[in-house]
Amino acid sequence: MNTLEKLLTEESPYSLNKNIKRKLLSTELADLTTYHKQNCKLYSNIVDSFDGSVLEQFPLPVRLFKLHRLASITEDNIFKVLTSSGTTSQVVSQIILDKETAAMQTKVLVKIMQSYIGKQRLPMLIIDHPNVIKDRTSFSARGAGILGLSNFGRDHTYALTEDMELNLDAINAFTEQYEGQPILIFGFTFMVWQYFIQALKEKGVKLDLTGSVLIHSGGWKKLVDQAVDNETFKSITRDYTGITHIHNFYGMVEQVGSIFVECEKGYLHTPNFADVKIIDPFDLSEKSYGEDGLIQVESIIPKSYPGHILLTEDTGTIIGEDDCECGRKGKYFLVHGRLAKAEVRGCSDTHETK
Amino acid sequence: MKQNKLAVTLLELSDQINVMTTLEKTNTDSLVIKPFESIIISFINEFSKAIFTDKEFKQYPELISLAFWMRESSINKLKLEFFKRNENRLIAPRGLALHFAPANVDAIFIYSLFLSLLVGNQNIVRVSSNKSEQQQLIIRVLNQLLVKDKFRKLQSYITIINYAHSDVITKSLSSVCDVRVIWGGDSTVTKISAAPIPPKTIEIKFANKYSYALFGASIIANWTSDKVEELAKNFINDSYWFGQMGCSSPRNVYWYGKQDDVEIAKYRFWDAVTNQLADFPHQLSDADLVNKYVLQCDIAANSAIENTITPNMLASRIANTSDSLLGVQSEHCGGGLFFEDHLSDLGLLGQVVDRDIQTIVYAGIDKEQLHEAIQQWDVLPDRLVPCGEGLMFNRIWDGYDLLESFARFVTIK
Repeated sequence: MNTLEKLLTEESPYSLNKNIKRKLLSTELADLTTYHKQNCKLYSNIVDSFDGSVLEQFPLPVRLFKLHRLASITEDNIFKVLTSSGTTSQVVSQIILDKETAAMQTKVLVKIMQSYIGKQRLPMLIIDHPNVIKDRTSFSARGAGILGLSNFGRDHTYALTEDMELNLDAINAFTEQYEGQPILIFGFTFMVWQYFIQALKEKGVKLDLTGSVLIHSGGWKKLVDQAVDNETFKSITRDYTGITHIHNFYGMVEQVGSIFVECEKGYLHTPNFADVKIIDPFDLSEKSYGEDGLIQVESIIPKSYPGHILLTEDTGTIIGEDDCECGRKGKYFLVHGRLAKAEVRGCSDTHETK
Repeated sequence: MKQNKLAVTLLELSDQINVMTTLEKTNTDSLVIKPFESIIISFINEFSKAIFTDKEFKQYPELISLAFWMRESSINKLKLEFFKRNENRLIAPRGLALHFAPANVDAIFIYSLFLSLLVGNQNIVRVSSNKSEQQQLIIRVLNQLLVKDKFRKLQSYITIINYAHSDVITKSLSSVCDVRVIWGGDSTVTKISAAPIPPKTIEIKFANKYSYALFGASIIANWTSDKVEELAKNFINDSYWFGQMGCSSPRNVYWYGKQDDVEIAKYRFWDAVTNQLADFPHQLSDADLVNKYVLQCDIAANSAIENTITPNMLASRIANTSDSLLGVQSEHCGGGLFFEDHLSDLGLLGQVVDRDIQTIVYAGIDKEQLHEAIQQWDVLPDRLVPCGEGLMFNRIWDGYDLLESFARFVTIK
């Protein structure tokens, strides 16, 4: 049984204390670096181009997956290619998976999510419109996220119509059918806020979904613009739906298996299989707990492509390790958002576009 | 007549553009001024003095060097040389000059404006709507001077405007100008050039340009530490203002000499650069540093290069390890990212010099040697200047003699 399989047999995905975890992960990650250098020419070119041992563990910038197709497997072993596009850019990331890595991703995701929503498949309300997953040829990141999470629910019901209006008929029928039972609600943070909670507020409708679980993800930028923080989000959502189990999560398609879910205390947690570090962009050194910096994500899942150590363009702060009041082991942290864009400079650009 | 054209145009567009300089109604039809008339020289001189005395300008070295260029003595020198070059000609202004200033290098529009003003043109300058500190300071000083009695007459000669991007306004302004100057990159030039100008109007366009640094390794390897420090300071000044995205900011560094000397010179030079950068107001953001890192990885994936991250990421270096000489890298994010290559012969640099190359800043090579070497080049850059003078403005820019371009020459026999 390899390390990963052993970790999957642990009762909780948050069971390792820091000494054991550090030892396990550093060995696994170093092995992966060697493995990817042997199997991905582009990766070894990049790592070898940096002279000396500037960096102990070399992080690939996340954006690189938009610029190169990085794979450590041959074409005929490709099982699926995940793509994502940021909202602002047309260039998509390409993440190459073989059967093994895809299977591990699913297992790890199940392990993590079950610790929040239980092993039962709950009736599932999706805060989006049904067409978002229909066109499989041009799969959006939103569609992919919904499909991924759909495995944890049954009787999938969409809460919005195609023109992003609240589908009250569908919602009422669904809540009547499952009255008194816990349901699973999933949506992207902004969608949940803007088209679900705000729409309920406007219509003066309050739902009773006490005992249900809301899982949401997808970035806070638009909410920050409206001065809505996580606390506000949770309290207003509670007011209009009665839901008290609300979990945000942070993750990216570029690192499969790295899902960092928010605990009851409001912090994101690193599971046994993954880790985060806060990096100083000034010299790529690691920052201390409590300091802001770039988030580096590490995972022992990516074997079919060199995505095991990635430097994101998100900023965050690690609060501590192993001692969160929620009881979970591992680092717990906060994400502040995307790194502010570089300023446009130089002689060009007389007519700036708005 | 000309004054009316300006006044009418500004009036027509008054609800669509924002006029940022003072223009009193009574001054829209003032008298014609002559090239280098004393009122212009004294205006520019007072502008220069205002910059020197105003503490707020101190933090912008490009504005200080602008002020140096505008001192009375240097403008008088410009005047003497100008009349000497054009001894047997009668000189007349072209009329109305329309300048499109670059969005991010504010000092440039003042050079453009004042050179045109010196030969007696009326000027409209369209500045960027993203109002920088520098832009605000410059306009404030212009207005302080323009309301003085002795300079009132110049109000209709200096009009700074801005407007949100609009082809319609660009067209109306272009249709009445006698000279159109477009500062900016290829896309800006293409966009603005699409607005027609009258048949007799001339146009000066500043498109994308790139610059190099050329260093003689054998000499630099043997310099004293003080001289190496001095070179590093000059190089930083040439490179890091405008986030290395100026036309004259060196992006590639070529080392000429024997391999051993190159290694020593490079080591000493970059060590000095890295140390000094720590205290330099480089204004690089975290995003700039990340962009450089992404580009370093991006290029390394497919090319024979060696990447260096200096102890701080302020200077990042990409050394060419392939056999062919490295030319302009269009993928460049600025922020202190340098491509390096080695030259065994100065003549070889000609292989990577084309019309896209504006400036070569050099050190450790004497001028005569350089003069001889460039004879072998097929295409010449716009300028070769000692390292440290990269940002120094000259009336000859990108191959244009601006002063002469802004004037008309009349022959009488």
